[in-house]
Amino acid sequence: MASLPTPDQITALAPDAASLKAGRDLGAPRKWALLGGDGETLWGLAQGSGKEPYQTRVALGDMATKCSCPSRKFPCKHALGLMFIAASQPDALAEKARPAWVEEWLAGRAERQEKAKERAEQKAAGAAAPVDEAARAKRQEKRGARVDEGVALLGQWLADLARRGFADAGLENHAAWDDISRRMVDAQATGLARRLRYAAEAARSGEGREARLMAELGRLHLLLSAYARRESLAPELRTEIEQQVGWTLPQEQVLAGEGLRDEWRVAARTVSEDDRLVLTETWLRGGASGRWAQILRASPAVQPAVDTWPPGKRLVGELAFYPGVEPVRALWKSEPQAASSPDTAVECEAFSALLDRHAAVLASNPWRSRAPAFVRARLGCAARSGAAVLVDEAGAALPLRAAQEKHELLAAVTGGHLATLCVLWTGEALEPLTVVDGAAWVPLTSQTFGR
Amino acid sequence: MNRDPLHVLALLGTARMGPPPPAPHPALAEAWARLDWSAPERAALAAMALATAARQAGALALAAEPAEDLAPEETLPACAPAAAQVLRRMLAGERDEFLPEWLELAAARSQRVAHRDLPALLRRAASEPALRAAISPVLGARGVWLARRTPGWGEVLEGGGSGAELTADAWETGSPAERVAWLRRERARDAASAAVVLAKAWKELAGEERERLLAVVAEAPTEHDVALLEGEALRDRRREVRALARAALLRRPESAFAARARARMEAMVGLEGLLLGRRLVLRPPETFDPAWKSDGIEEKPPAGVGPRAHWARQWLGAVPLSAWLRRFEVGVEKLLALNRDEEWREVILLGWLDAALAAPEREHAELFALHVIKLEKWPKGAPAPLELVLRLLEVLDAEAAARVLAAADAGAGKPAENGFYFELLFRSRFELPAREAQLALERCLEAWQTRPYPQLQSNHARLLARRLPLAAADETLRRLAALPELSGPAEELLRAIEFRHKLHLAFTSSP
Repeated sequence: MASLPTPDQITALAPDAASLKAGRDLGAPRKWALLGGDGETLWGLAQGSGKEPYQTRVALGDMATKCSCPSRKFPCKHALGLMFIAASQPDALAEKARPAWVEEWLAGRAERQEKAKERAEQKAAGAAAPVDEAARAKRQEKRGARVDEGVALLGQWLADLARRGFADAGLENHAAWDDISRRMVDAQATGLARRLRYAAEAARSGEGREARLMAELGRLHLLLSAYARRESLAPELRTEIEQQVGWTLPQEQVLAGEGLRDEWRVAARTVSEDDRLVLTETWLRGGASGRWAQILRASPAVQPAVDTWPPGKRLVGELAFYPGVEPVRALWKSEPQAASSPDTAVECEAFSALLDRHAAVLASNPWRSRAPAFVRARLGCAARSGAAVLVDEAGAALPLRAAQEKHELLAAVTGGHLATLCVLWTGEALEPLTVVDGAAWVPLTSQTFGR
Repeated sequence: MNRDPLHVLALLGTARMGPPPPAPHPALAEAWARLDWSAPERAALAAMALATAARQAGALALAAEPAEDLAPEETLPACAPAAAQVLRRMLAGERDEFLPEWLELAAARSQRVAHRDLPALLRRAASEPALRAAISPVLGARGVWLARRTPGWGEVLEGGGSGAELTADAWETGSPAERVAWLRRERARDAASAAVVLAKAWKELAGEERERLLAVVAEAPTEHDVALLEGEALRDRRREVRALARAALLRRPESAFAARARARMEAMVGLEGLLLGRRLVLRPPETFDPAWKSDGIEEKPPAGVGPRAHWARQWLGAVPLSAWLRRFEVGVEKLLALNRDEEWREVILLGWLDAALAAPEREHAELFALHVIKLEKWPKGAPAPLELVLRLLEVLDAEAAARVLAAADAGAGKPAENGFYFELLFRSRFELPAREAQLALERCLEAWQTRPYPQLQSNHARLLARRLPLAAADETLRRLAALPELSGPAEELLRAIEFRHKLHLAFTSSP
């Protein structure tokens, strides 16, 4: 039997603030003509503005929802309201026999899941099948040619820039970057386009921007050089470089790879909006393996859906990592389940160990710009400059990069004492993502789109 | 400043390059030597990549200042998680009209705010001074620590009940707001010395500051203030200051000014006629006595008002109702009924209204409020009825205020008009007794459901939800739920009550 959702979990599920509020308002049994539930499913009839009440269904296992309302939000306010009732007043779910419309949905879902599984298996198997090989190779070749063109173009552009110098190029203007970025997108080299955007941001970033711009363009140059001679590189490095340039790997190919089963701690989650997409970045850390993993999820902003597990949650499941050098990006091989083992304190890393680890990764993958870590640290000031730093138990300090509000929240939660934090080391500064406050994990990043 | 040669090269470009830049660090020497500068652009970009990777991989930890200024241990328990959740929602803007109620509930249980909610709460209190007194008991040690060390939040502590943060020299060097706070505190501690300090500084003060400080005095004038009030304040250049001084002196019957005003009233007003014809008659002064100027009496009337009536009104407005009762040896109702002289009735009434607005007397406020609510015609140039009645309600206890409110309901069609009851209901602050709350609910629902009162909106529903006694919440919810269809404001009322109900449950039902 699946457990009932907690208010935290429901809050995390809400696609935006308006839906959350409407969902809370619907979390009152009197708004419902019928409420029911069993170990696996919740259902209810919500009186909406239409003539017929809306049929709302929630599967507790994976929090999938279905509602007959016309909303394009997902999950809709009715589904959220139903979950809130389950969380706060489970007794109100009086009806125990599933109505036909619930049974139908469940049956359809099971069928679709079965089919999807079959398709995935076929695809995974088919990826190696000789029948597809010729067509696939042809497609790859065609795409490869376009990417190659893009790479050559960008190489020329970079060389031009190096010859003229950054000072004269007007790089703080968007116009300087627009054309070349567009051409990278056209060449299907989305990774290069993204790196150009980082460089453009660096060029506009104020104090110290020259050094940051040099770093971004240097890394970009390194990527182009490596791509040019990828044939001669080790397969892992080659895959890494191809993905960095923008070759996308089909999910089923990733899922077909070997999985890593562990109890994964949700260390941090960030929800952001970028170019009409809602992006969720979730950092996980394996309890037994000590591995870090990053789950990315994108959904269109008009129909946002975010990863549901709030920071601090422990999940048991198997992850498949994208191939590459020191891979971190991963996919769930199957829907993870909440861990039932008793909670334990997370294992923290000293700053010296974090720096060593990141240096080792850079040696084999110089494009990796961030390293996640759990640290035990306090707020402090650097000895000479007085700049904001985090100080670990051994007294080592690293620069802290946090907006004013984040800094205030950190100060409030820690009181200047040592605390457990999830941070990202960028090679220059620590960006705090989550701080542990007793039993509660307090996110320091945006958790919901539009809030 | 010595610039890194690679840096210079990047900025100026290889077209203007001198000799190739040297390796930035001995550890890079070997790799640097392999850069092929015959293709200078590629070599420069590769050098940047190399330097970047080396710098990031070679990052070293810094030394830090020793930890100091650590937050002290908490002495209060944190509020329950459910209560913290409700607070968090309100701080995010949802139904924050109940924020003061939450703070009160937490303070009553000697609980503090969860640490993570402190920044939002302090930020809120920094921009909303009215909240400051309410948050100080729930900040806990961490909140006080955080407010002290964060620029802009320190003043949140100063609004606290204790006022301990105000130093002795706040009067000498403080901001205008701090001087006001200091004066208020000092008056409570030692009214005599506070009066001396204010009188000493008076001549140096700017007009606006004189007004703000005298407003503090006028809240509760003491015998020590009389000299300043009767002296310079009454003759002040600033009209608002003169009005404040007159209002303050209304409450000091022993002052010479009050005695002069009484004497003037007694000289001007008399009783004439017999039995049913008995009435108050007014003989306003024929000429303006220049000595009145130093009593703050204006000579020039506003347009459309006769000068004699204007002088009379000002003098009458400086006499409390109680002085009239003593003079004519009648009760309030009788006195009000005696004001029926065709010619001067309105001037006398204006005097009473002015005096009531300036310094309402608790013992007569109810009867006077009931009288003015029923007035057929509201005199021209008088204070607004709503403003006046609200002022009277301020000094009344809840039961008496409720009776006035009920009368306002019954008095629909009078100057009060249709919306007067609702205006009074939503803008007064006294705690509604159960019966009155029931009536308020009936009236609002009636207005919302069947006879939409155009000015009654959802924000009124939120205000009403705050005023209703919580004991009636269940009953109210049942009644609302039973209605076949809810209008927008009624729905809002229902949600607001539900929220408030949840807010209280979070405190009472959590372990």
